[in-house]
Amino acid sequence: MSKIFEQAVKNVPNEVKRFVDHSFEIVDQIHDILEKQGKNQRDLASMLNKKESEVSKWMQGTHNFTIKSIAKIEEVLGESLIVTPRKIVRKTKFIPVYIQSEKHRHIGSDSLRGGKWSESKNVFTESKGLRVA
Amino acid sequence: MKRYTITKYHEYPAVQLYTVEFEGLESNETDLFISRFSSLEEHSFDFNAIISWINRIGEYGALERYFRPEKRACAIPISSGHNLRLYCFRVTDEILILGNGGVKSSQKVKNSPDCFPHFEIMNQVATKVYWALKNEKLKIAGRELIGKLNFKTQS
Repeated sequence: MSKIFEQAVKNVPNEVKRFVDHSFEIVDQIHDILEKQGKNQRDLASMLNKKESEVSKWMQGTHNFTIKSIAKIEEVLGESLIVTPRKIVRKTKFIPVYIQSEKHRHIGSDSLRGGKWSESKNVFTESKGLRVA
Repeated sequence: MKRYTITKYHEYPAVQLYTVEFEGLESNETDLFISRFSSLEEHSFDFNAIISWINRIGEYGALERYFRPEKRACAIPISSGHNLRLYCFRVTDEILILGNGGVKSSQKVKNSPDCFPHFEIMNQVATKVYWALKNEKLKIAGRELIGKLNFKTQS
């Protein structure tokens, strides 16, 4: 096995790794949506008024997609290609879960009943000031 | 006429990489590419993206849709505006032969003196391997190429 290659892999800056990973994730997402919709790259090119050869270049895992081009692709496919962590948090409904740790066991479960759930902080606050995350 | 051998280069969970080793040379073609471009600042992004691309392919598979055909061989390209090329031949989703590469300085590869010899060699390798597989002198067993792995260049 090549030590020169192994070293080259180790030396790749994290931002370049992220660039390639993001590009692959986007093209794989496009591929999955096309497959699900029974379409191919030629159909996508036609929907975008692009040449198939251009779309084919995008799909190789090193294309630097612009937000504008992602938006166009999302629009013709009718599905999102990228979802930010913030968007996931906004869509997530939080359900209060009470976890009684060893440290607080002496208080007893009855004492937790006097507290209240804070929607904004996502914590349970007991009436005596005890916080249960 | 030069003699060369297709040798194992690096093993990944999803792909076995091979490279091309010319008789009489101390390094194989892919190591020569890495040695030449790894420290050149002007190609730093392209070079690292190519290495990162190979790494990703190795983890997930050398699927056909990730490759840009250039005759029988393929070029590992970076998006437009970047000119460094590494030539390869995708045998299956699990076997990829890497060669050497260079800087593409014009629209057509034949007008790019830094790239063209590597493009030619990789296409010759691809043709030889293709026919060796077709004539069953070479066989595929999972991620392994078994059989004839020594060839000669045409000139």
